[in-house]
Amino acid sequence: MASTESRREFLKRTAAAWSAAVLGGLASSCSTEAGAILDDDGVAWSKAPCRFCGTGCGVMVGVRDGKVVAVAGDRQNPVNLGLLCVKGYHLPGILYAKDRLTRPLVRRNGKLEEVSMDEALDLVASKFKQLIDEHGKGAIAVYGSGQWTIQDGYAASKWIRAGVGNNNIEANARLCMASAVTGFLTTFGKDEPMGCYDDFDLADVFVFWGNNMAEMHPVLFSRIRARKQKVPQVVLVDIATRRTRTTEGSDLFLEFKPHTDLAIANAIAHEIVNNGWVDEEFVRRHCVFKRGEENIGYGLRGTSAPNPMRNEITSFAAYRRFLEKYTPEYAENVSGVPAAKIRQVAALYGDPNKKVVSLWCMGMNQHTRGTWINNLVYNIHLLTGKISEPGNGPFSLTGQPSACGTVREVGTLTHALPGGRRVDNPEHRAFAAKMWDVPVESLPAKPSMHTIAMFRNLATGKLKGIIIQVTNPMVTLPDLNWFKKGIAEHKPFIVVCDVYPTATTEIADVILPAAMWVEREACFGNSERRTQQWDKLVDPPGEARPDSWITIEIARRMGYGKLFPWKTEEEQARGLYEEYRQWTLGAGKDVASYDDLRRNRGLRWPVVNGRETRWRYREGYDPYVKPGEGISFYGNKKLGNRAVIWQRPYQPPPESPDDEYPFWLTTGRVLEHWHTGTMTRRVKQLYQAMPEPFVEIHPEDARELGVSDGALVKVVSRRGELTLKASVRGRGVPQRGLVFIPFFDESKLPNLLTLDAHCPISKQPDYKKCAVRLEKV
Amino acid sequence: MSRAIAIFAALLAGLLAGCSAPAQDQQQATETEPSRAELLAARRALRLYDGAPPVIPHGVESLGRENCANCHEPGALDNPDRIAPPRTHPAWGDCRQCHVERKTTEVFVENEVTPLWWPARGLRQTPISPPLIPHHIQNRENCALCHIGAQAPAALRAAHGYRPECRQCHAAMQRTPAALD
Repeated sequence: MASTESRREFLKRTAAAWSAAVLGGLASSCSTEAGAILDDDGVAWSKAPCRFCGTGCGVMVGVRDGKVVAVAGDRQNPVNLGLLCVKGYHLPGILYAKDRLTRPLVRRNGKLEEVSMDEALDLVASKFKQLIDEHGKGAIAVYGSGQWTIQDGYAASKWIRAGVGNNNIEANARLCMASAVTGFLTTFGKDEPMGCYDDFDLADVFVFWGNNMAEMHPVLFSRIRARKQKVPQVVLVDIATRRTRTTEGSDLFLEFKPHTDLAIANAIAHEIVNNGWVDEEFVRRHCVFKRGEENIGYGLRGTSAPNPMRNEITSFAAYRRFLEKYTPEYAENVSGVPAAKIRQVAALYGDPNKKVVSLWCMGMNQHTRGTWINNLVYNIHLLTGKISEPGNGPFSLTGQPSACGTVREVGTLTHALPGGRRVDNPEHRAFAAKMWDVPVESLPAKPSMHTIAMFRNLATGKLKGIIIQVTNPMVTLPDLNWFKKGIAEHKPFIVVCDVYPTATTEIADVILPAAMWVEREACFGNSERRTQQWDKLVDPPGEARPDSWITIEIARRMGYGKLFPWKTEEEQARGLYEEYRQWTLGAGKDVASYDDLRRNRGLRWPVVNGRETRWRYREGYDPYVKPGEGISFYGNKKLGNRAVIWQRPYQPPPESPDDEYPFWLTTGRVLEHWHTGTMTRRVKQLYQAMPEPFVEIHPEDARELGVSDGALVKVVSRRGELTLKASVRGRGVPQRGLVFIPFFDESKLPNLLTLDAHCPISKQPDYKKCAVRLEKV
Repeated sequence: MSRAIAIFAALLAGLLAGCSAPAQDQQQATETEPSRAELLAARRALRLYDGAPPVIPHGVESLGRENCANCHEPGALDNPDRIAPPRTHPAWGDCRQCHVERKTTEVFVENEVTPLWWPARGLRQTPISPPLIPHHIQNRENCALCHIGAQAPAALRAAHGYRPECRQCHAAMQRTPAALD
């Protein structure tokens, strides 16, 4: 039984490694049993994954009289063993803010009017049909997010591809995970991490690449701290552009100039190669070397560049020659990080007796060379053979609860189909036609628009209609003014499904109220390939319904009802999942059965014969690796099941500080708020802890500017301006010449300043770098 | 010790502005020692629901009080000048990933959440039976920190704190782990 197996494994390993370290110091009355939960009269407790980030913590949700009244950490969930962060503990508050959207709203003569759900859905379906009749199948699109449940994403993909007959589906994960995906695909031929969180209980060295894990993935950072507490010689290395709480918790800090991580990663590889730290047998048997197109541009409007995917096979000798330039001194010159520190980190990676985990999230992904820097970190792990085994491996963190489970696994990006398939592969399309029972000719073979192209087309009148679910692009798109102006001018038909009024509902013609989190039954998939299911625990308010239900109702009204035979919400939750699961079986992405998910605290795919997989590509752990193979990077069949070590050069970013705009601007998040703050700002405790955004300035820069902590500063870029309070010596301190602004407040948008340059391979924008100037107000 | 209690009471008085306690519990309150009702009201003022991590009722970054353990480590209360409640759960590394400072009293949007609050007193089978533990014990398994010895507020202090095993008489109102599967 999967459940027995996973429980036993969890108790043996994870609990031994983690909880013993953490709980060890506790008084003797400590309960070592799972689930110290009050059986209070009338309170029913049920499992669910947390609604917020990609960690996927288990929470126990307390429900009384039809309302969520409390949560507790789920001690039976191996992800978090009962610990949550401040956002997770405040989950009950996100459901009940007074301005919850409960009735459909239609904009008539500029004013929003309440209508019935039937009327709203009829209107949306007829308007979409009209746009298709007038402008062709490609006239409408769907834009979702990594907060889409697996069911929501699958319903949207099936509706737009098998129903409408276009590939106009994207999700905000394009803005946050796309470079990680293309990094995995170009190196390993298959998306998502080979390792899992168990590595955090086993590694000797943790290297954070541009990742403030202490604030963004606090529960996982606690797990790493627990490892350090247990084994004090464990080393934490923070490679970052600003000092954060992660720096406070680390042993070694490498402060680099933005974008120069490319040079640092190559210099680490240079040291590994030159000092004989290469695991030569591993590289000979399991790796190939490649060089890609290097003149790839930055995806800016009105520019073009050669195909960034073009590449050729090279050799270890060629790779060696490529690395010659990347001495630690060269990297010091480019990045500002002392060569000695780069050597120190290279020696940690190169030490055959140390297990190393590299971690990253937006710092490496929101990068105009995002795919490249992902490749370069994989290079380090491949050269040293430190991959796909307990305690060793690169680990790409995710920021949304189902960026992996839905966007990446279900495939809610224009080119993607479930199970790692692609629309431009004829065999995959044939499989899709069979699965969906539609003629293969009705499935378009070409990907249409990535997210930035989709919104560029919306803003230039080329795209006529869109439905946006669980995301807030009017806060998260870069260079917002340009998009806002175009949308106001061309007036496309915009439908928004959400739970609260947002900057995006402001531009909507129709707003449909959505059921959130435990108001419906569904599944998420977290960063470590763990699929988790939860049941509906409370009713949604008013006429609010799950996004998948809304999509299906629109599809039915457009004549595609045959695609969705399930009637009730329960049937839809199970039916959509089980149909999706058929795509994953045998594809190396086998998700667990719905019943297994119900019984377990999630299972990590591939789940074969009821057993989950903790380390992919390694014999003995991964059922897809045949006996005798040892290691098989089976995503790269054409390369003989080998992973790719890439020659990726350091190149400067498209916009750097100059005399007129002398500062770097980097944007990001804070612990208390999640993404655009639409949920967390409505919880008193979270709002009161972080009521407004700020611009973080280095104390020396602040002194030169003549501002102190709390003084108003105007931040100006070539694209816009924004006035905020200065944060000097706050919880984060940027390097000199760099300022940081969090993006959680819809009324103070750093994306008025950012540039829509993106990685030409992943099409993910770089929110971490553009040039600004500061003015004292 | 009395000085600590006086400061604690003063702190509570500040927190309790606007809160009123049920009359039957006020009999315990003295000039210097907060009643059970006052203690519970103070708990509520700092939490979204019972079991949620309390917010920090004082400045942190602005006051340079960034080393929480200086005051909140169990045992720090041995110094009578310390009035800070002790940490009741394992140290997870960074206190402020769960406990956040309150920097304003404003709200962005009113919230109608109906939080869970536990009963003020544990159920008793008979008037002389030991009461059940009325609250959730997740992250608060060490009874002594709040109920035993001088560090415990008088209104919560057990009269027989010298006994070694609290939970052989005071049962937690809990489900078995199997029921949570």
